[in-house]
Amino acid sequence: MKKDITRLVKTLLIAIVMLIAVDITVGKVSDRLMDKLPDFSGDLAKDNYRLRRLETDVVIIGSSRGSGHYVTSLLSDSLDAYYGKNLSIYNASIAGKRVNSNSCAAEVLIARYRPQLVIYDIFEKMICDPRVDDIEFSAPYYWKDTIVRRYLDDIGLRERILMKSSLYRYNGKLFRIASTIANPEAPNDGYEPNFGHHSDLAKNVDNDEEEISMPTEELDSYVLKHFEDVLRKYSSEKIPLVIVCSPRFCPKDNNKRLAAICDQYGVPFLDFYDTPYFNEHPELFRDGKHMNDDGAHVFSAMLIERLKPYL
Amino acid sequence: MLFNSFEFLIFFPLVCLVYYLLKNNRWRIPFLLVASYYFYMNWKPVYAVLIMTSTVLTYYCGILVEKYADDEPKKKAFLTISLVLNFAILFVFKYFNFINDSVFSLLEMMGLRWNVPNLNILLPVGISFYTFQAVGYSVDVYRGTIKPERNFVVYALFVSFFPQLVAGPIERAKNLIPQFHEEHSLKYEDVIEGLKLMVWGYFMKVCVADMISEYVDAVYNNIGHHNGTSIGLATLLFNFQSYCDFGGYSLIAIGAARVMGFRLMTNFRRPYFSLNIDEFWKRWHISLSSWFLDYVYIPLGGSRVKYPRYLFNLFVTFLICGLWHGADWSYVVWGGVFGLYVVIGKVWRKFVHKPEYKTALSRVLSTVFCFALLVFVSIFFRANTLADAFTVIGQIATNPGPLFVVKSVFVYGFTALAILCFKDTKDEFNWKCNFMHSKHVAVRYISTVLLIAYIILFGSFSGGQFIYFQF
Repeated sequence: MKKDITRLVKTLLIAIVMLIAVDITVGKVSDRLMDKLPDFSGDLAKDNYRLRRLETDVVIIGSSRGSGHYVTSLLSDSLDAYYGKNLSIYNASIAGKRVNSNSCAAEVLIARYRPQLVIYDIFEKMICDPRVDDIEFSAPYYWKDTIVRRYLDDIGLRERILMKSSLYRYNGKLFRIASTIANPEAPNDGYEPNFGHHSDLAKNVDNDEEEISMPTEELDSYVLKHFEDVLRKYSSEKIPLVIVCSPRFCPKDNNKRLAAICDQYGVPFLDFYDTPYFNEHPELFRDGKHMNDDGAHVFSAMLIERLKPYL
Repeated sequence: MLFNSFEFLIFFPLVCLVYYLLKNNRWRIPFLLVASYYFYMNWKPVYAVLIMTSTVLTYYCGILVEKYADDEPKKKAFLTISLVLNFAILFVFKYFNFINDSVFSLLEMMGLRWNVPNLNILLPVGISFYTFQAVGYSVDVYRGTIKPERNFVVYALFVSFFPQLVAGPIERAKNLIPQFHEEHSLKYEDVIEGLKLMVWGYFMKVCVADMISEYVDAVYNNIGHHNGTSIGLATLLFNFQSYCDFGGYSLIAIGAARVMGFRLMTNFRRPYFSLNIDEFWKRWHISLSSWFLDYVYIPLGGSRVKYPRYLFNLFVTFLICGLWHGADWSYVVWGGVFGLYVVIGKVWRKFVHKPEYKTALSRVLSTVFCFALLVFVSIFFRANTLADAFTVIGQIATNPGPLFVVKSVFVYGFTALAILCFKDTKDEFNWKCNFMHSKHVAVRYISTVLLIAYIILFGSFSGGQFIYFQF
């Protein structure tokens, strides 16, 4: 038996050493590929851009609602006129990203530079969503950025251990990295318009399976903690941050708790979630949660007016 | 606790370590029993009461059946008590709501009212597996095939042994219980072979099944939005998904047991190389099909009856097998279609033509035909409802169109599928090119390490439960 144990230990050690070697090699190659990512080509490139290179004066952060609701060019013209100078602006919202990833990006931004205005699109139910896969998407930056590392480590012991492996950090990403590099897009302002409209919306049918299946109405402690970190940091460093909740068609929920949180940190909160005008115009929506291009233009014009006191 | 969870990756090495550190079976068996209950109670602790109930029931009934070995009525009575109570638990937790709904629908059609409310309970994980294992033990004791186990701890471990507790293989007492009485010292070959089986099982699960399931689920959960071509591909892929999901689970289970020196029965043997449906059931979920053979088909009379009755026995066995898989009419239809396949195959071979598969072409054609039949019947298995199943058939037959593409699934899933197909083909035809079992040390190490790296780099870790857990 002793012989078997010695042999087994030896075999396992060799296998582990070989696996570590493969892990390191794959990590190095993947890191190199990440460095070659273009700035404008899908969510991977956009995430890379906002975490590593973005330095515009005005930044919009959010999910698919953020990317499709804020007409960057419209906002840019109005802000330029207001400030009397050319301001650079980028809509860094990414579809599928939720509060964890967006809060992380908001923190990373101000660790790199001092933007003149950050608009953060969110609605209260997003803070109830306990899923963390959006921030796990940023795993390749685990060793590159201490803020990303903190977010991932905070998930729990499992992540703290698994994140040490390059293979795990790049799980399911190599093909996306390669195809993103192979298909770079022309530079853009980050606005991703939605087209078409939902024919059933007028009948007030708004089946959002994601939210129907959400198990709780409680604010998730992990998500809330990081969102509050953002509010606290921006507030203490006096960087203009405006929390905005863009319109939804006849929502059944509200943002009372979100408003209270923003109020607590002295961060302005502009709530367009349940706006009568938008509730009366279903043709401005692609679906219950997302406005189409027409809706985004109407909303962006409204937003500029409401933003003025905070500029 | 799932085999593909992080918790299991900590739990399993710890259990193995403590198991081998303990001096002998006096300590090892109770330790494995505690570990098995801990493993199970990670889902819903209260359901451990059900396993314990089943264990106590079959344990004492087994002893009483032997005690009254010469008194047939009493012997039969104790067997009946064991079977009725075990199946009653299974009925309440798995079939009550299904039967209730069916009766409701039937009476409603007749204009009558049925007001028995459904039970608000979750299906206990693995209940069908451990119930069948325990029931099989009772029948074996009654038949005199085995002596009843006197050591309660050993018997309790037989019912709840964690590698195969929640999704099989459904072990036989005569295979597993004697192994619990043997002292297992650590053997290099057992541990390494067990680990290799586990690695391949994980590959099948996270790289093939879970990756493909993203496509299958996307299509099947939204049938109205997809054309026949996409639904057809999803159906085809579902066959590989279910094989890799359950086959992968079985391999992890067999490998985990092997690491500790226990040998569980083979559950899958490259089922899609079957030449006909009969053969398929000798390669697919072998522990279940042999269970049905021993405890349903043979008691019905098997083949030692008149020919029509023999065909009836076959059909009924498959019908029950369908119902075992799930409490829904689509599973009953699934079993029924399989029953028809087998019955028609038997009649065809007896009265029309008995193929001899002499040429390679005839074997290939038979394999392809058999696979096509399997793909068709899998529609009833995967569709969310029986109505959906018929919609799927209609869509495939009448609504071709451009293929719905999920790039990541097509790249990662199809690559993994190609690796799987190569390995199964190599094993099926005994090609002399081994990787993890190569005679060259370097090849063994490199292929194993690369496979592990592939799993971590390309596997889907957001995958949900194993398909067979719901049974």
